[in-house]
Amino acid sequence: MKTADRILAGILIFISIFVFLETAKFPKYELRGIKLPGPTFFPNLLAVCLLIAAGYLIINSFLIKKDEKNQARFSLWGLVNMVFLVVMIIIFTYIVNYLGFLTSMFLVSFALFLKFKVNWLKAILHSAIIVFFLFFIFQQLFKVPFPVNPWGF
Amino acid sequence: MIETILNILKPSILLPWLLSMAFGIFVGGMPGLTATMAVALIIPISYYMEPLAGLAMVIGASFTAIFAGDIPATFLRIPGTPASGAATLDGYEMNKKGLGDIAISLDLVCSAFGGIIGVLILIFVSPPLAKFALKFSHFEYFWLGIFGLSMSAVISKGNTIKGLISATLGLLISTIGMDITTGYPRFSFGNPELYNGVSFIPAMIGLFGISEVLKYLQDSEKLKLSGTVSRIKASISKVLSTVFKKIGNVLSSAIVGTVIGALPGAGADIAAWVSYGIAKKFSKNRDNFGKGEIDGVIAPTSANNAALGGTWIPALVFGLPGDSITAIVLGAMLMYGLRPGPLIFQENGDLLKQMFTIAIITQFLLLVVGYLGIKLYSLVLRMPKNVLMVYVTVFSIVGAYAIRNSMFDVLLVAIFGVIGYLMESIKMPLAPMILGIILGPMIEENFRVGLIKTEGSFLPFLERPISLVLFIIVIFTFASDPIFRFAKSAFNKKNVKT
Repeated sequence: MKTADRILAGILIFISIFVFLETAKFPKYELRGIKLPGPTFFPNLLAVCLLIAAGYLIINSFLIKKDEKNQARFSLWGLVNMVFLVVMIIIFTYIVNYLGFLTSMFLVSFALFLKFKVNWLKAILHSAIIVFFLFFIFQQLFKVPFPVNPWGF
Repeated sequence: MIETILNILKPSILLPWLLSMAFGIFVGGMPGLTATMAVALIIPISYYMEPLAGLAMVIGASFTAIFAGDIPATFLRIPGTPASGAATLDGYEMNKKGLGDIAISLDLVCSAFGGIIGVLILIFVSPPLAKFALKFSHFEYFWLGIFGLSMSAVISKGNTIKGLISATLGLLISTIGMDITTGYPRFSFGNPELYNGVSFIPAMIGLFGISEVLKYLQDSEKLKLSGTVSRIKASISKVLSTVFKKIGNVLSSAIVGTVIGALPGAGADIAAWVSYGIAKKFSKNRDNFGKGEIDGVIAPTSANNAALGGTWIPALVFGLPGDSITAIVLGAMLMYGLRPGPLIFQENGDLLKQMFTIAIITQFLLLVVGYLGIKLYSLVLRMPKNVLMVYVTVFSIVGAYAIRNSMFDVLLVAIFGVIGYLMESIKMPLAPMILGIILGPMIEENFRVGLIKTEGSFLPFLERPISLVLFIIVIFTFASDPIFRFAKSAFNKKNVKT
């Protein structure tokens, strides 16, 4: 965990610096010449807190003698699956504008079922159930306005 | 009293009431569909009915939806409603140990208990509690927010610094979007989707739901496992005896939930988190919290249903909505010809009496309707894990989209899913980040407006009596453990010497 803590501290320092740089562009908040807590006040306060936390993590990582090992098990297969899932969600947000919500959801869920070792017949069946459920419950009953394709579904 | 009950139990009221409760179970159990949405959808239908039937539908749907949110929270780690966020902690851990049926049965019984206590407080102490709630100004709300945030230190005990970092990052995320005083878009990088800020619902779905799917995907062996629930077979006597053993926790959580619910703008989600933190703070088994502790299941579920009773207090007494549900209900009450406010107790005393009776009976009906709802869900959850994980992903996407009809929120689900996965891999607790996102706007707005009022002086934050009490409680929350630990070690050393 020592290394993980140091990496976390680095990320926190990066976030803090980013916040300071970004808030420098924010307008100042003054009323009748009196400086008041404006849009920069709270983010800057939090950035200072993060810097203090980063300092604590770094110092602590040098003081700890015993290092706790990370128990997480990684496999290439697992990593590929994880990346696949995230990429599929991102792809979904793009294709939805062209194919419509329901068609895109059918394709994405079908791809996910196949990737997760569900046979293709069951994958089609489950994907169809999902789409029918979304259509009748969310779109028809709850009137959730799903994006549609040029053919209207 | 008997006449009131008979009047309520006539078919023209009972039938829509039960149907709305079934509807509440369905909506609450679907990630992305909230109790507010259930009530909003019921109002137009209730317009064609007598006022009492309409009120019964609204009350029935809201209480059952809040409970039903705990079902996916317990079995899938996806909160069905925002108020169920805290239920993901110990309920899901119990489910992982094969005790999901006990966790959800406890949820059901404690929701009903909490609901009854909330309604009883509503009946007997509405006016003084509402007056107390109105004494809260920016200073008190600031400390209330900080008190809620201090729960992150309690929740993440043993990992306090990482819990506080998680909460601070949550607060920072809450600053994204239009600034409350100047309207300046902060950290939005020209993206209009970020002008309204980051909604905590996609954050919650991503952090808890998608991160869990990612964890499963990491391990190929887990995909071969069968469903998450075998059977709902928890014995009623065992569940009831557990609840009676833990009655102190049920009562205290319900009271905390009602009081927080009575504060306009707070609501059931904050109530659930705060009661969880308090239960942990005072529990003998505090080290088991987050690992499947029964008290960790009981506290938030008792509080969130009780908070609903609390939200009705300012709504009925002053016509001030305690949360989004009562905001809709207030509109509906006007539609039914009722005028919420101090005079409602004189002008519509009989109707109010019937309404309170409905709220109490709803809690008993909840036990039946909720049980049937859990049975139905268990059928779905019995499917193989690889199939279930795709369903979780799909409903996470739909849930995030349905809240604001925004595809950007779907993207946020993926981003928060990865963040949640990485955070858990370095043992950084997720719950404080959600607390930070929820409480951020309350803390910042009240802190800044308070400072503007006092021209930059912090002293008034400590001068008002309620502020001072809240400040002392916050200090106690943060400092009690180190002080007790220090005192204990000093005492032990002294004993060793003698």
